[in-house]
Amino acid sequence: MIHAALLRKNVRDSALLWGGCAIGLFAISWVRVWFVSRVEMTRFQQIIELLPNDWRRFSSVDFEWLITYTGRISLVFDEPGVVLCLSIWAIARGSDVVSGELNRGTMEMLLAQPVSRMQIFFTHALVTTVGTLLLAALTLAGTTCGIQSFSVKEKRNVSPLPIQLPFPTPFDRTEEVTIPLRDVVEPADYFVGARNFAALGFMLAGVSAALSAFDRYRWRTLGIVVSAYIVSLMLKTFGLASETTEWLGYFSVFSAYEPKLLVKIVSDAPELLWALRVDSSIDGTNGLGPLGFDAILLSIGLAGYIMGAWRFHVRDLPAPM
Amino acid sequence: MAEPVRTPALTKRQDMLVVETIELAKRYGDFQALRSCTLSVREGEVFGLLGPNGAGKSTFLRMLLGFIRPTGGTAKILGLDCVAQSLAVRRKLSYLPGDARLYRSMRGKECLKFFAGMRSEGDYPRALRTADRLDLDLSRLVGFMSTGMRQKLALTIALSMNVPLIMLDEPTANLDPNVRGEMLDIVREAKQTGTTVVFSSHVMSEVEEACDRAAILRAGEIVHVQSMPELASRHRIRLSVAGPPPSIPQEFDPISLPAEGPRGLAFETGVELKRILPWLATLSPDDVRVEPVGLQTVYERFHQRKNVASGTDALAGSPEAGDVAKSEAS
Repeated sequence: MIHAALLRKNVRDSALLWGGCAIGLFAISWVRVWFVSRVEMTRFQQIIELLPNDWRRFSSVDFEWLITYTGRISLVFDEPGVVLCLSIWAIARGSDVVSGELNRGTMEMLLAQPVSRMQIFFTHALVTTVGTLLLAALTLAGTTCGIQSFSVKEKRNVSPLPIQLPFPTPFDRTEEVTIPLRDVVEPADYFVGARNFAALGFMLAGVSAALSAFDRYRWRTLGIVVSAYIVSLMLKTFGLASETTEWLGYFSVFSAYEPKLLVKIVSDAPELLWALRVDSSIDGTNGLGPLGFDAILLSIGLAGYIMGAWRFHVRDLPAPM
Repeated sequence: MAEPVRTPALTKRQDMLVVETIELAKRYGDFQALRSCTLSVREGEVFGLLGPNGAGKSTFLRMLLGFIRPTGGTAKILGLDCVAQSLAVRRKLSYLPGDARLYRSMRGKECLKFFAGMRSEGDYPRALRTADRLDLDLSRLVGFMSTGMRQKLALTIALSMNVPLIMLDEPTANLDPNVRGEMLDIVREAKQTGTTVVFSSHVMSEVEEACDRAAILRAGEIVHVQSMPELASRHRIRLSVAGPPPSIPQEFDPISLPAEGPRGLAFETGVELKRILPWLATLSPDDVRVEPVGLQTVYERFHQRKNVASGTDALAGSPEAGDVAKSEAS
């Protein structure tokens, strides 16, 4: 199924884009943690408290949890730059597989060789999927590096008495102490976020590949995918906006992309890391476990790849324009 | 109606069919791109496909490669079904598309290496030798190559595979005369090694020069298959005599052509000249012209040239008009 020469070509073709996205993702996630370490928790709390109460609806987790270091760092997976880098990689790669080759006119020369359409399709998909996994891993690596390398300053009450009492006393003085982030945050908690992030990339690549297999112009494939992306984002936003429009959220693939919620679930209960279902009393989950969220995205991506492969297998190839 | 397609009987030596299509057809909605194409190409043969743009030459070749699925009929290459066994078919052939596009980010050499690595029959050293023969600069990026250079590079890829069948779709388009000649030499050499070559072209002279047979397509239909050795024995004879024009002996199997003037006589025949010349000598003609019948003439029997400005048939009144009329009538 995988063709060695095609694999080398695909790796070569995607190297520049992947390299750019990899640097971007590592840097953004690392800088995000640095930013968390620079802004004092009390200031962040003040910012959050300024937000109107209605805005709480737009967050899948409690604002109170977001005022923890774990919560603040989990927002790395919702950073526009991070989501954009992964989306660019997945959509650019996915849309290239059939309509890209047809658009460039190179499909004829390629398929004139003894290589099956499935080999072309799945070799391309393999490189995209491995690239996506590595990008998610780099995002996690950037976050972990940040956690390991930065410290936070916290104000603590220190009692002058030789015995530390469990309650404040009038004699206490406030002292600023530096605490390494690794002492207050567990990097492994973000694995579940990175996994959800990778699943999002796989879903985007699969859907793009399916649309690419139906089309002959890459620009049109890109246009359709980006339009669907925006519509899906809007559906999620409308779904969160009020109770009456909540049902719209079920039509958005982004409803299954909830990295901060998953980080919260796993940081509270690490045994739920591989759970498909959880107690439906956990807010925002609808009984879906961390793996359940990923499974939805992976299923959509897989369905896209299967549909794309079928379409590419049976279609007539148009002559180059 | 079109002339029935005549396929000469196969010789004992050339009884291996490399390409065989039976009633091959392709329809896109109401548009019939290819209709009932029955054709066979023998081992070691150089076969030409002729026809105007849109006649179905590329569609025919692309169906053999499995790029397009037929809506009717069957196509086989070396006994392998072109749809069901497309991968095995493509192992047996190399193909140059009509509009060959290559990876713009690769250098010429990388491109050759990539395509040689795509198949076990790939031969990189041979590709380098072919590129050298075609005077191709392989150090340049494909994106910076001229159209002609890119065509040469694609041609090099197609001609450097160790396969029994080479299919070329308008291979000499965009090539300069020297490279065109070199390409035809390579085709001839391939034939000598027993390789079968099928190529489409708009250039009659190169088809006439390189091919053993050629099929003429019109509106998706094979309307004529011409054997080149047979064509070489056909002549047009025009003469003017002092008295009334004599009748042409039927043993010459003549096709009458419009004569020039009341004392003129013109006909086409496939009979050997040594049998005709003694008869001509008995007529004591004032003027005699003997011309070989070219492929162009045969082609124009099926594809009339139109005078674009007036929309009239440019052949009207010309010797070919009779042929065309006869062909159309048949």
